[in-house]
Amino acid sequence: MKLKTWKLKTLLLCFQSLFLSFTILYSYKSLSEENAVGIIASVEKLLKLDQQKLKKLYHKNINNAKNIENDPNIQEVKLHNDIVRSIVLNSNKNYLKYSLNNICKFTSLLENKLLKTSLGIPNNLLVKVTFKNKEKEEVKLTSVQSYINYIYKKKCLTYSQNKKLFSNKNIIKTISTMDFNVSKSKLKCSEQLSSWKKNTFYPYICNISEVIKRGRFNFLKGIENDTTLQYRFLKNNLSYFKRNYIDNTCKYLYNSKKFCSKYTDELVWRDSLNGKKPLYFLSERCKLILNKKSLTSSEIKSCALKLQITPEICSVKKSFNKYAMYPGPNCNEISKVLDHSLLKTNYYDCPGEIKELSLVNIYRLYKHFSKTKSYEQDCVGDTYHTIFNIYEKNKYLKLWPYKICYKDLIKDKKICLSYIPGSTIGNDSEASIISHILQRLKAAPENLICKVVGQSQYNPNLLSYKNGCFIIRNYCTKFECKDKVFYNTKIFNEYTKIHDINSHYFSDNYKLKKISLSDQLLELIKKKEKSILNYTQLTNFITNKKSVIHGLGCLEILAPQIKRSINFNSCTPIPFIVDGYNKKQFTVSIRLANQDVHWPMSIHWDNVFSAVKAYQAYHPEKMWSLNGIF
Amino acid sequence: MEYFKLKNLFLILSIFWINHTYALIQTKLKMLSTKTNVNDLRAISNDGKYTYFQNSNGQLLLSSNYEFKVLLKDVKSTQYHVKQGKLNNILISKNNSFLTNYNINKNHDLYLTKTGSDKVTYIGKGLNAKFIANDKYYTYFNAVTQTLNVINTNNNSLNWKIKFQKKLNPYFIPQVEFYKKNEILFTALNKNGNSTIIKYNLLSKSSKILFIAKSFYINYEMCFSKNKLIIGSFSSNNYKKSNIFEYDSSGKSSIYQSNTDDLGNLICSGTNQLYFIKSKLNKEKGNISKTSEVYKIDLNKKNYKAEKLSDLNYVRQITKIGNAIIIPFHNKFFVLEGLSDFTKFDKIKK
Repeated sequence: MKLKTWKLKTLLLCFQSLFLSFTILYSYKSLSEENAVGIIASVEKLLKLDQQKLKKLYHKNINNAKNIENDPNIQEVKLHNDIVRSIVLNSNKNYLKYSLNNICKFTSLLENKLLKTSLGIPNNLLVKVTFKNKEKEEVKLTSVQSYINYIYKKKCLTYSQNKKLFSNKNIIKTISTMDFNVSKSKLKCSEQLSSWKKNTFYPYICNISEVIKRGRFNFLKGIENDTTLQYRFLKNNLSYFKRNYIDNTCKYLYNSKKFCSKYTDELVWRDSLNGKKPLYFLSERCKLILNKKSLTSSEIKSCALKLQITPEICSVKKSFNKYAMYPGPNCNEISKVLDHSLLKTNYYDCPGEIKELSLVNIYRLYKHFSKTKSYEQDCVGDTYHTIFNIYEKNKYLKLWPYKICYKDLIKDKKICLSYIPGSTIGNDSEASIISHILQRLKAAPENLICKVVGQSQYNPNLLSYKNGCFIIRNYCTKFECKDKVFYNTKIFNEYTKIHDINSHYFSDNYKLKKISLSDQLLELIKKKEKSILNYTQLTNFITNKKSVIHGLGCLEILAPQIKRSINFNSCTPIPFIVDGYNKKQFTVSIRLANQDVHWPMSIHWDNVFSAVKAYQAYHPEKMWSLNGIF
Repeated sequence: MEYFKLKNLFLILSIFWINHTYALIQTKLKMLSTKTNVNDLRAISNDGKYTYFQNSNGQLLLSSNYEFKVLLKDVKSTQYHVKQGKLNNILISKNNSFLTNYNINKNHDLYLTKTGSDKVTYIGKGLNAKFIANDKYYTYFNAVTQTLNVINTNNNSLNWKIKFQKKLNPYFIPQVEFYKKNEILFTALNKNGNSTIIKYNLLSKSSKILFIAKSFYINYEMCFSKNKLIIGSFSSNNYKKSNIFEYDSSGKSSIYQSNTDDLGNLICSGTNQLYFIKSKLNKEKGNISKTSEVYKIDLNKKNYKAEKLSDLNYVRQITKIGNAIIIPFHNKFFVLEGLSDFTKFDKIKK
């Protein structure tokens, strides 16, 4: 009996020391990043060696298979040292810490497939068995289940009941009895998390988290198996909050700061809910996330919680699948920026579909200063329509860059008509202009109005598409995707589209005065602008709710994480809007024109200054391009 | 009118003040000296004899021995970029709507020439033109047709067009590197928006995915150093996982890892030196600020130690001109390694 206890102690000691060395290695790595290279390389080598050694060991003992659970001659069973070492090297450190000094917890983790060797999740284990009346240990190959049953029976009787509680039949009931409340106080939250370290259910709830992860992966790949079924079952029966709580508990059991920040941090979403900040900060984002055009107040509340506990969700959900720079910042980053942000953004836009990014910026500024409603169905059309109105009201329609030209057979000359790209309706819409051309060239009826439809929707075999004019967006053939017009089922292409972009964003010399987009905007909204030359001027300028700053700068300097510099002296000019600042961090909140309007970023003032300064250096008139509108 | 004059005077004075303030950058690094205005400079041949620069009249010029030749001409304010190959080949890109078109996916006109030659050949429209495989091929990406073009430099009838699928990020432009024999590697995005590296065989036209980034916050970069293919994966958005590794037929071997969102901007030099921008989070009085500096790893040494080279705090770009590694910073150009004084070359008469 003494020998038995000693062996168990030795096993645990060995396990502990290996774990300690691993922890030391790991902490050394995080302490000294610059010296990490050598250590990482040796860990990699160690893992490779471990894998080779384990393979050899399994191969060597392939004929030593034994069912250990019911053999009365067995006195003691312990895991082979090489298996322990491999588990320590390859398993999640949270799980290892949780099971330190406790063979029952360790076995429970094995049972829930949470421990790994260098060969993956083990089905069989190598154990050292001591038989009664024999002094020498023998190495045996046994199934994991057999090992678990042996340990539970001999040492952890209470654990064997847990499996039943988490069977498919009982799992939902068991979980419903568990306490998932998180306190708003950081101290209490930390205590609540700590209680899981002693909870024998921990391996089971982490198993749920793993099954959801693997099942979701299978589901997305279209693989149907038991894990996919289990994933569906858990997803349908556990609330989003519980699934995330479980996942976060498993991930951050030993990092209460990170765990509690997900539940206790003061984010802008709460201010948005209680009216301190505009509700559209939250509601417009949540419409995207929940893919709904309108939301109830309880849906908005539960969405606010979703943004807090799964911040990555903001990075991928953008304006109803309209294209923009991808991915965006996460919800926490956006929340920090929105806390200082002034730009009115109660609409959606789609910069990826408006090639001319200066129009996107001017559109955003116009929306900020005016009270016009958006065509929610068509963010492309709304952007162009807004800019068209600016040209029209300022009487600069001759300079409007988008035209459709055709050869008028009656007048015998080329005629070019301004049109508004997108799917808006009205006399200047693309559909109206094409209808007009069809009337001139194909004697189409006067009441003909072209309809904009998608390629999948258009079916010339159906009676409703036999007659009339249909504009198909992005009609794809084997070789290309282009907008196509069908009139009475035949392609109509006797016209050309001209996009003659020649408007400067800012006026850069006297001759161009009144032509730049910025000047046109200012004239319409009856505002003025002034140059912003330093951070003090910027912070003094952004004091009232309407003041925002716009500019042009080199993207490679503004946001080097988005575009890296590839040539000497390269500069990709991009329009942007600055609508806030954080004086403590010397940062500004910025919206680049290629980003979704709901994805503001926080960047260092030096980036803005240097990007504008670089653009100035490449500008022939050395123009300074950072102006505040007031 | 008087008001305008006064306003302009104030603007000029303010800009002068800012220029003056930022001229006081404290650094141990040497500044790049050239005979032309450094903002107009586009390339200097490796031997320093030929200088490519542009002027505000829309011309790209070649200068050698106090002689100028106009290589290309277009409207005022046209911007040119020049990419040098390892041998004597040069790729030129021309953007004639720098001041009026802010479409960052707009293709530029691309031209091919030889160092010192005034004969320039138009090759197509695209972005990110570069040479690979010791100038055997050049590549560029046509952002309108979403096609990656790979063309044999000496025989343009040998060319490959790799079509990209419509993707989540309309602004994505692939990076290309030569791998070995007839294989190239390029970056792409998968349907979830995660960065991938794809191996493409030019003979069989078959492709295989080599790496998929674990998160959409990770970007891959590649460069070829002497005989080693180096891949960097750099994160953003507080994902805080950056690493650099060497890839060959036996797999990948780690060179560098960090728990920061490094900017990357990998540059490999011909002498097996690797340069990149590393970020650092600083905590001061409860405030967190992020600084970034250039680091170098000598790939000839086995310990792969990352050595800090710059002292500017906010480095955002590194670039090359001739054999010199340069940091553009507040409109000044600091030389990290290589020749810093390019003023003497034109003085040497042939």
